[in-house]
Parts: sequence; C-alpha cells; structure tokens
Amino acid sequence: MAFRESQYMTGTVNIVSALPAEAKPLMDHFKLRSSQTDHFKIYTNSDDNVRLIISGVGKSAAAGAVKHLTKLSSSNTSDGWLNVGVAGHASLPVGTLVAAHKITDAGTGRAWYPTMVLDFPFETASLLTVKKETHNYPADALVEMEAAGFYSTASNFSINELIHCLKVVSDNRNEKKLDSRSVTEMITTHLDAVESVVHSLLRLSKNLRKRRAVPRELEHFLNRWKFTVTQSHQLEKMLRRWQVIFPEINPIEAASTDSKNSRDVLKSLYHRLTDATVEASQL
Amino acid sequence: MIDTIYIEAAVRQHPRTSVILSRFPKARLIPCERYGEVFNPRSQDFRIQKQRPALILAEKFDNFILPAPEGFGIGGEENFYFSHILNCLYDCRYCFLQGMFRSANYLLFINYESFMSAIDRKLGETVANKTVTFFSGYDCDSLALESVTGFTEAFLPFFRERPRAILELRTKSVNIQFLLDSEPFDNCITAFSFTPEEISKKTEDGVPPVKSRIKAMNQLAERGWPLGLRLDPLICHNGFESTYRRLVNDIFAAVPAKAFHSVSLGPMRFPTAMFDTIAKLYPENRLLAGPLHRSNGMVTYQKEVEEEMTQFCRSLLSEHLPTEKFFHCTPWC
Repeated sequence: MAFRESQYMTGTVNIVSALPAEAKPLMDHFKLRSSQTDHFKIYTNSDDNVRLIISGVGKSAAAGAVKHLTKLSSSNTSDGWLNVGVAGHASLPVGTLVAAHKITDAGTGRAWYPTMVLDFPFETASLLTVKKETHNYPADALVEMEAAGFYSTASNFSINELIHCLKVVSDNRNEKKLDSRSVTEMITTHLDAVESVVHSLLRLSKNLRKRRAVPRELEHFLNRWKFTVTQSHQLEKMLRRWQVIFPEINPIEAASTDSKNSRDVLKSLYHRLTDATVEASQL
Repeated sequence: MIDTIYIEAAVRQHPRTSVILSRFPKARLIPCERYGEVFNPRSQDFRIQKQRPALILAEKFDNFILPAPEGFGIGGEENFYFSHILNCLYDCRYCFLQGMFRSANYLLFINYESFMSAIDRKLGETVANKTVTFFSGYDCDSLALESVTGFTEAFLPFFRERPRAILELRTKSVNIQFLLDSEPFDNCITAFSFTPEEISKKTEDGVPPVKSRIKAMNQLAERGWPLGLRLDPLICHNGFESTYRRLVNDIFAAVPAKAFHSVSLGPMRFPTAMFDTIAKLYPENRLLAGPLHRSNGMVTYQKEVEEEMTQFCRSLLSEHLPTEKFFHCTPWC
C-alpha cells in the first residue's frame, strides 16, 4: 500500500526576501523563474518546490507575503519557510551570515524561538524587528524590519522547526553597506550556506508530508461506502495502522467480504487489526 | 549532547545555572523571559525536536508536589510525585511524554530548594508516623541526566534526613556513580524499568542494554541500596513468555532477591487523545499500530491479553519474591 505519491515525493521551501537586491542572487542560484506578478512578485524553480516571494520592506509586508504564498500551496502545513535578507548588528563584521535563534518584535515585545534543529555552519543570534530603519544597534542582537512579521505568520501555517531567518550583516557601528549592489554581493557570498539550509528544510518538509499523508485507499473506501464524518476519521486511523501491519494486503479486498455498509467495513478492519499478532523483531 | 540552552532571565545568576553552563562551554545560550515561550507554543514537532533536544533552565513557582495517580504506590501510606525535569534523555516509542508535551526539549527547574520546602510542607500535613512516597521519575528518568542536573547529589542528603519520606528514583540509566559513592539508606529506592532485550532494542532508543542495567542493579545491591523492579510497560509480542522469562531469570541470577524493596507490573495503556497524538508522530511504527483496542477512553491491549501477560509475569516474579512486594505503579490503570 502506498501514499499518494504527489503528496510526499518532495518537500517545499518558501523563501521570503524584502528587496529585489536580496532576492536576485537566490533567484539565480536556485534557477527561479517568475511565475506570478499579481500583487507580489513570485519566482519558482522548475520542480515548483523552491519558491521565492519579494515582500517589500516591513513586518506587515512580510506577513502579507507569507499569507499570499500559503494560498498557492495545498499542503502548506508542512512547508519550510526561510526569510533571507540583511540586518544591522552593533559589532559583528559586515558580511557575516547569521541565523536568528530568537526573534523579538520591538513594537509588542513578543518573542519567537526558531527551533535549533538544523546544522547551521555559521553563527546564530537574537534578532530585533523594528518598525523604522535605525542605526541604534541593540546589544548582541541583529536589527531589521521583517522577521517578526514573517515568523509570526509562517508559524500559523507550519511548524517552528521548519521556519528560519538568515541575515547577512549589512551595517554595524563602524561600517555600512546598504546599497543594492553591496547587498547582492553579500548574499551571493553565502549562497552555499543558504543552499545547505534550503536542502535541510526540503528534507524535513518531505518527511513531514510523508508522515501526514492520507492513505491512498481512503478515497476508494469513501467512494464505495457511505461513511459519517466520525466513521471516516476512524477509517483513516485504521488504514494507517493497516499499512503498517499488513503492507502487502489490500484493505479494500479484506473489507469487502461480507461488508454491506460502512459499519461492517469498520468492524471487519477493526477485528483484523486487533487480532494481529506481532513478532519482537517487527517492533 | 546539548548544543542549545535557553535560560530564563530570573535564573541566569543562579549558582546551579553557572554549574550547568560550565558543563557546556560551547552551547548556544538563548535568553528567554519564561520557559513557556519556548516549551509551550503550539506549532512544534516533538519528533523532529527529539533528534536534537535543547535544555531549558527555568524556575518553578507552584505545584511542586502532585498527588500520584489513584492506586499508584510502593508501600507508602500516601503517594506524591514531583518533576524537577520534564522530558527524557531516552526515546522510548511507548512513552507517554511524547503525547503529553508539545516540546521534546529538556525543561529543568533548577530551584530544587523550593521542591524540598514543598516536600517538607507535605510531610508536615501528614500524620507524623505515616510513610509518604515521593516519585521523582514520573515525567523524566530520575538518573539519566544526572551529569547535567546533579539531582541525586542535591536530593539524597535531603531524603536521608527524612526517613518517613520514601524517594523513588525511576530509571533506565546506568548513571549510578553518585549512589555508589554514597552511604545507602532505606528510604531511597532505585527502581529500574525493563522490557526484554529484544523489545528494548526495537523500542527504547538510547537506553543502555539490559545486561548493563542488570549489572548496575547488582552494583547497587552490593552497596546496600534497596532496589525496585518495574516491568512496565508489558509489551505484547509472539513468544512473550520466553522473552519475559529470560529477562526475569537474568535479573534474579545477577541480583539477590533480598535487595528488592518492591516490584510492579504495568500494561501498555494510553488515554485515547494522547495515543492519537503519538500515533500521528510515528504512523509507521509497528508497536503503535497494534494489536491495540479502544475502550472507555483508553487505548490498551485487549483485556484478556493484558490479563494473560500480567498473570504470567506475576507468576514469574512470584518464583523469586513474596507477593507482599508486588505493587501497582502504572498511571491510568
């Protein structure tokens, strides 16, 4: 028995960048082509599993871009999300790549904590999202304008383990490289690191989809017999167990004998599952 | 082992925080206001987090001591549990913690002295000659993270001076050095949980081999520490009679029966909502696929299967221990 292939053959990663200068090297590296320009500019690769949206500046714009992208994906609860851009920092050298391990909205004081399960081959730091551009750098934290909007919105759809922010330091107390060309160059320097994060997210996203995939036979059952909503939930749980216990046996055939209605079907599957024995080696 | 540590602002300067941080000089330190910001958010995945759990250092303010579930006990006249840490080093597929918490991070409450005060208050509320059992391994393994927490180091001297307070250290660990280095006392029971080796290898990721744990039991017995044996949960499989017989025989061949303070048996059971959460995390897992049965809000083996396994193991243990040492130590039974 198999899952619907299209549901889990690949994961998906959505990249959100505020500015075209931040997005351009990513578009080139991941071979992203323009796919939609309605309200937001969206770019995707040929497999449609790496997408990029240019949000514009500010946390509301970032939040809006995330919402917009979720509408394009039918399985967005297992998508990976990555905010890539530039940020200021009091002391880190300009050009340093940093992942955010804590994101605080300066306006509300609310904080989010991206789960540190990926192997980041670079530094991590706290990050402060502010409303207006500032060069008053907080102690030991990145400062920028999108991450809180991005993270809070993406976490309504996906899980914390799949949502991350990568920032390249564009300015500090002593140096500023905020022009478009410098921003593009700095992001370009870290494309290998970004790619490694994207691949990790694709793998997690794919595994999560596989884990959550609906058993293929569910639809066949629902088409053949009439199930109530409660019964269809029960059926789905039983089919998940079935594919683990009897991977070689088609549950439709097993349930068909003597099953006149949905109740008979559930009873038949239930007895087979409950009577199944297990070897220690199978556990 | 731990590469990320979240620290509540209130405990940043606590001496125990400094000791713990000194053990992880390379860890990423992340400040937080309250642990709930990290531990409680809805959008977390226990299974993914379990691959790389972080440590959260926090302060607990209330509910230090909670009543043990009905019928849960090892001879004390009253029974309570306390959890200085939530979550476990090990990854056992049947563990209810995976369905209980949204996060797999280790949440350590470092204000041990507040737990001790609460234990004293609880003892003060009970009749002076009553024995009271305090279970420490309900939401964690009591010893597995000892090198991080220093739990026994802190609590053993406390319980040693309170003979009517029985401490149960529930564990699958062989982390017993502090106990071996300490003078034993009667009101601290180190209780080892077992499933047969064949089952343990398949369902208890990270747990030391059965042989090592039996060796640890023997060392503690020789040192004079009272032991507990917990066959919990009992796992149904073809040939369970021979695997459990071998397990029990191996234990009693190595550990003198007189070292055992208590034994208990417990079937595998979950409240349905908790089970559904766990089954969603591991849909491909054979143990969770069954044979399991839903009844009265619980997911269990069929009653007759439970009964057969329990009776069989009871009779095995009866060959070695008097039935007065048999107790009931499983929640939701």
